[in-house]
Amino acid sequence: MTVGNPYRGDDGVGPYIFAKLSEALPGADLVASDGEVSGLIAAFQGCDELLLVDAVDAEGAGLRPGSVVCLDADDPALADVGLRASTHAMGVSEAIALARSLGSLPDRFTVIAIAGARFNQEMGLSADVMTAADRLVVELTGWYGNA
Amino acid sequence: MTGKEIPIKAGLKTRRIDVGYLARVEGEGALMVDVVDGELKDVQLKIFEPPRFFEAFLQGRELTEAPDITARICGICPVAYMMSAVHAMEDMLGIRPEEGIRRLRRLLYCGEWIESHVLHIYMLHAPDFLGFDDAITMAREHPDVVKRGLRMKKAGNDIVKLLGGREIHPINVRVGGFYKIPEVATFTALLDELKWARDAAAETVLWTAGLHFPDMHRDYEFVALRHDSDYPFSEGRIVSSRGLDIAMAQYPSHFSERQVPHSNALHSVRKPDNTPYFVGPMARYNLNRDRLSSATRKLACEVGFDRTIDNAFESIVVRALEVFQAFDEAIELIENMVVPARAAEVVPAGGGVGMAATEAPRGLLFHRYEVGDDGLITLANIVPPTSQNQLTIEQDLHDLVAANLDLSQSELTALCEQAIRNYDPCISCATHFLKLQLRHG
Repeated sequence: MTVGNPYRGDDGVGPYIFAKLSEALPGADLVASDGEVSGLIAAFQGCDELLLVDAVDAEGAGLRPGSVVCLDADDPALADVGLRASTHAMGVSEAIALARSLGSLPDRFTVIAIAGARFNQEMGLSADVMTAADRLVVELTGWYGNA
Repeated sequence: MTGKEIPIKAGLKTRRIDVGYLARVEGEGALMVDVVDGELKDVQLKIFEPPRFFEAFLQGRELTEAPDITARICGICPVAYMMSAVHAMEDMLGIRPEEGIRRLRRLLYCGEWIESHVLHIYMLHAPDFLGFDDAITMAREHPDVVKRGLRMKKAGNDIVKLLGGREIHPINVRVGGFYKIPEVATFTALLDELKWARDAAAETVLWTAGLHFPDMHRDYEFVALRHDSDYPFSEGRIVSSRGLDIAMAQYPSHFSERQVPHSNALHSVRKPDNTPYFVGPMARYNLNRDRLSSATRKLACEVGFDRTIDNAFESIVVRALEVFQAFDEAIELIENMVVPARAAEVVPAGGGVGMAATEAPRGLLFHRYEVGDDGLITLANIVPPTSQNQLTIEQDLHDLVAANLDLSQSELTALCEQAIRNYDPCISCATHFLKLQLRHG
């Protein structure tokens, strides 16, 4: 699952990776989300294993732009990593917490957070984020092939 | 609970409630209440979200761009912004879309009301009534209730996604109609889930009606649209509980906006006496109960809501009744679908002045545009519901605090936050750029 908004700078890294993976892995079970909470929770249901790719604010998370952090959904650090929230301040972190309260989290759930530098109203990724995204696509394609 | 509490100090008779950042509302706002010598001195709902300049962005843009630009004002009620812009331009150009388009627009509105109201009822407001900090902790104790709300919201999302092109910030609405009409089969495919959701909405009405409502009855002037036959979405006249009955184009003659130092949102008042008024679900409901479907009216009777509602804490039940109404109407619109002959009417060249009001989930949303003969917008004025309710919210808080000074600081703070959430305020929508006037000596 990828999350993000292509019109908000580096928040578009999720949709960028979704497009790349859709080409590389035509049979894979891929979901693109804009981060809407009820849609996220509905998508979590019925999954045994989920990889979720989203952008985080590098400055807020204390990360260098282009850094990639993998966290288990149960990792307490997830609350501090600064996943982008949508209107009413509800986003991926809140969806994960809500799904946990409801007992509907996938058994294996990994959040892959990519640190972005710009979240303005613009299209296109910054260079560091683009490089990280391309590298991640290669790794995920290999991982899927082995799995 | 949010915000800091400043306890009463021994020997001092000054008491302040200071909620520095309001939670579970859209946008950035704060609340300040001052009590001196046991007497309430000041209540300020501060909106410090920065100005967003949308009215200025619109100047110089094509009139046909207004729906897509204004949709970006709000991620919760983009349909209302689009439709107010669309109706204003159609009013100006004399466009009258066919019945099939009208019905599809009502369906889109149903989807938006469901999305917005269900989110507010289940995720934002219910935790107040049940004593939880947020929906996440509420879900631990009431998982089936929260699951029901999430599934209902998704049913609303699916309507907006199908007809609008996506769940948030739809892209399929245009002046004159739609860019593309989906196949009938894609609508009927929604019916099973919508019928489940209508039953779930009835359960939601019963559930919310059983909550405890703080006692607060006020003599409001309710303002809403009223249509000849339908529960109001985007057509009709502007009416009030004190006898106002005007065409939409007369709105500027009866309402005005004014600046206040503590808010980036303008305060709307009734002319000529600068009095507050109340827009939103309770206003719609009180002024249009006879326009509800028979099933909604029956449900309202069952829970004792076949009456004028003057306690804003009961708005959660009214929202639930409007959710039921929206599912009920969505099912009817799909089961008796009128397929339009064309996706959109031709938009003629020209300009002029166009005005329209529609009923956003939070209440009346007024747009006024001036457009040149070249089709470019020269002036735009947008009055969102939260601006219109802001003075009423402050007066609610004033009465509520004055009547509950015996409560502890934390209890009173929680009650004030709950009272603000009665209006589901959308602060991002309400912020305007303040006008700067320079005086030269």
